[in-house]
Amino acid sequence: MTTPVGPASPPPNGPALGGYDDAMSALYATLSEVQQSDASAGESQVADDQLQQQNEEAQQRAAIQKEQANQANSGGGFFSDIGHFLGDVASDLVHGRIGDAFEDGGHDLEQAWNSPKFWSDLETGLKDVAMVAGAAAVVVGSAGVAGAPIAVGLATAAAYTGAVAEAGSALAGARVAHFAAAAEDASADATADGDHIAQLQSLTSDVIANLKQSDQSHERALASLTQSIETNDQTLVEASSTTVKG
Amino acid sequence: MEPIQSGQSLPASLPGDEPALTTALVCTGDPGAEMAALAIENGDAERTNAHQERDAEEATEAQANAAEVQKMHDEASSMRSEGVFDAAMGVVTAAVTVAAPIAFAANPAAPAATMAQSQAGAARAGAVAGGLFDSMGKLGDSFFHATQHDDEASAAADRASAGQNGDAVKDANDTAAAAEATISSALDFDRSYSSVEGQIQLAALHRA
Repeated sequence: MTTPVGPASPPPNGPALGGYDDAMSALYATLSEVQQSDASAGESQVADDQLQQQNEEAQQRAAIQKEQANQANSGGGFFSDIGHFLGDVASDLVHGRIGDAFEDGGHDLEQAWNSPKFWSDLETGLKDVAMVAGAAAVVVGSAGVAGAPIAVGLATAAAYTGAVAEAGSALAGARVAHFAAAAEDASADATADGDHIAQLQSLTSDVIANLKQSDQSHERALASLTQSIETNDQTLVEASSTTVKG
Repeated sequence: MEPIQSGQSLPASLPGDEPALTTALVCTGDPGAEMAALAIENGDAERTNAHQERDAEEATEAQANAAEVQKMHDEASSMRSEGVFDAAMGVVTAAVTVAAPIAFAANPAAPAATMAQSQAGAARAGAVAGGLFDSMGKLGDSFFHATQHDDEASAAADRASAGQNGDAVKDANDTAAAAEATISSALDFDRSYSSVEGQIQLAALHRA
């Protein structure tokens, strides 16, 4: 990702000839130092950006995992979690581990509480119960109106069961909606992290491009200086030889 | 999360690229140097404009991305509210369904025919009340769903806007690269021109 930058032009050869060459040599050295300084600053910024990028990538992975964990099909189902709970508690009780029974039971209940699939199954199941109970209430109620008083009591019980199941389904639905919202929030966080990563990559590209541009600029300046020193030396030599010939 | 700061710095001004120096060279009377200086000035201005445009587009892109994320959070918030609303309406509907027949229940001492009629009326009352609250729940759901769809549409629009800004950033980078090439060409020309001029002066010196 970084561009190695070093002194592109060799330092002026030979001893300095006169004050002009001394000044040019000093300028050359200063420019070389500036070039190195720019390169170091650019490399440092690129390293910082890459470090920040790694952090963002870790956050994005965590957000994606959270999103997946909150999907409706994630976690154990209703019967699976109930089975685990009953199995663990029964096993602990059979082996006389009362304390473990509470601990394992609590752990299983916590898992069920945090399982989107458990609540999704519960909501669906309670909806089905409410539907069946409602239908039963209508059918049995019709019989009761027709003249069977005991059927009225059954119809009322079915209606109550349906209503309670409907309410339970609605409460389970709230929990399901909570998981869906958490998944959406996690998705938004993952998107934000992805945007930041793209932004950092763009920033790094800009820094590298500017670094290259700065480096090329320094190269040109150093080349011009070298040429200036050479031209000055040639002029001095030519002037000297002309004087000797004259 | 802290916002990412635009930390890129433009290259330091150098003798070869310095606009002030090129401006001075424009008036030297040397046509080659003047031409090179003008080309460098133009290239430098073009490069500066491209960099400014790139920075502006990047800032706008970041804003659009942030707006998209905010809309997604708004949608999640709406989903959460809808869940709570549905739960409340479900419980109220169930309570009314159960309570209405009790409220309309007949007097146990009444004759059988009257009792049967009262029970039928109570059942109807419970059904009507339950249906009423069920309808209210569906109305609320429609409102929440519409809000969520609005948020999704806004997020999609923000995403598209950010994509356009990203394209503009690439265009600005291309423009900056072209300007850089112009400056390089002008400097190469100036170097060659100066070299040839020096050789001519040297030849003149030899002839003398």
